[in-house]
Amino acid sequence: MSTAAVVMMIVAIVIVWGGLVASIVHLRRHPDQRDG
Amino acid sequence: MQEQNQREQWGSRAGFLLAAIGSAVGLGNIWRFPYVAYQNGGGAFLVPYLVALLTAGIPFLILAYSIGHRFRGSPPLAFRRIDRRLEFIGWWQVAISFVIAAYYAVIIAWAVRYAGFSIQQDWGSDPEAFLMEQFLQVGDVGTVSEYVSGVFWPLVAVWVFVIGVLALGIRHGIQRANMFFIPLLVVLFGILVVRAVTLDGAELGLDALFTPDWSAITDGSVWVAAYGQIFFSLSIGFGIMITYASHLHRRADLSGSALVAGFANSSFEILAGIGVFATVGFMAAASGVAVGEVASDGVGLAFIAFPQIISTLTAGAGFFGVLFFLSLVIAGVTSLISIVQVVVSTVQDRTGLARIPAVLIVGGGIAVVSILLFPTAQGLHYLDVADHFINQYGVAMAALVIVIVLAWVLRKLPMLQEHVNATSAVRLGTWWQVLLGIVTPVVLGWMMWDSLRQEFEVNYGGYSTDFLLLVGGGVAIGALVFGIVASLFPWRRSDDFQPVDLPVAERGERT
Repeated sequence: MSTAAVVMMIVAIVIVWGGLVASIVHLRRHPDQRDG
Repeated sequence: MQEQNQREQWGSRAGFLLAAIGSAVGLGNIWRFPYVAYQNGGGAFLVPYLVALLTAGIPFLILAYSIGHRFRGSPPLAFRRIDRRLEFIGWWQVAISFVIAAYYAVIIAWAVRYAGFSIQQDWGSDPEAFLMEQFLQVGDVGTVSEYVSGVFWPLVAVWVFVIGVLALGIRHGIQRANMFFIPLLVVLFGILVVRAVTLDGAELGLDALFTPDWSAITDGSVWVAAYGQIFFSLSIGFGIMITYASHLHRRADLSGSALVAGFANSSFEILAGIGVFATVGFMAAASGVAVGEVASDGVGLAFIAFPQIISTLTAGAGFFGVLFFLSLVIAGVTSLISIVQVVVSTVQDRTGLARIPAVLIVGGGIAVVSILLFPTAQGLHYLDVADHFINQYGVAMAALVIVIVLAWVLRKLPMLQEHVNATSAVRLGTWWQVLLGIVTPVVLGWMMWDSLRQEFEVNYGGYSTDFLLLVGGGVAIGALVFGIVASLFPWRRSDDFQPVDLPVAERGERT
């Protein structure tokens, strides 16, 4: 693979999968509050 | 009418999220995204794609969640509760879901058969001839001439399964099915990707997919493709997310859920891109041709190119084929369940019927149409044309009407923003209204114009104008007309629903 392709593959993985992990972590840190 | 306290709820936040992800991750993630990315700048496509996800996809998901959650109903009821005059949009979405469910199921039925064919590679040396002549027995365009039993019976099985899951309800049916199938899909497809990237020539395919062509970024059509991919992939505009969110409990986090669902859908697309192009690269290397000659999308990729590739594999061909087609079946079934649920939930809201009779009537009704029209010699033609027109002039147009009406005509976005902010950790600002009120309608309008222009330049798929008008125009215009007519019938039972303004809670860690 060319360097440009490798870089873009890594960038895509880091941003999209990283975005998923970050949004899951953020959601887990804020549990839903149930009606009292 | 199902009142708030009677409305069935998801068992857990994870249950809702997996169902929402199961709905979004469908056939398009596997067979559409990789080719769209490859054709529109490769690695450079990432830029418009991410911009589209963040500026239109996720904001629209939040909008759909907020409508379903605040107004607690299937699309017609939720829109009616926003404003009596908007009820037609909900019915329009119901009609769109009906049409899509009818043909979507048949593709799943093909994939079921192909999982079986994979074991011995029954398609032989010419998968295209096998698909068209032996398996589908495709005939001339026109009225149904004969039924194809090899498609008929698996299609019946798909419908029995979907109806069974829906009959068990939101928590015991839909949630449980997704909590089983989505992790299974990730595992099966993950194994496939590992196998794919270790094939000889995989790097050729990945090179073709990820090498950036930066000039693409200045090309308007690439941006249209990126927004189109995000819209169709996230299944927005069918009313699914309105329906699913109507079963969330009152203090559910809406914007955080939309971020997870949106990124999860794109994550699977990237995974599919790697798997599909690594496989395509292997084929290109094995047959000594360029990757572009092997790459394709849709039915051609899944049912012609992949069988060819599977037959070329020397070891573990059957295993690889079963993994691929089972992944298609799972991705498809979890989406189909969500599409049919839109119609089921609507019939329950409209008639007050209990779940099981509603599921049997709706599921049975769609199944009958699906089974009468699609396992036939003409099925592929109907499917192809209905799919193109209902997406371009149904799904996308309904989304466009929703954002214009809510942002500009009735100005409901500030109220919905407040509703989301009352329960969500990621707060929306004016930027959300700008994205939905300006960016999304401009892009959707542009997509629509671009698509219409092409319709007049060349007949879609080379079909005759009469056939396109009858089937394509029929489903697209028919869905809208159905929406308007259905909204004119008065509701017998009174609706004393009042949306609850939730107090903004102190958010924080909770034990």
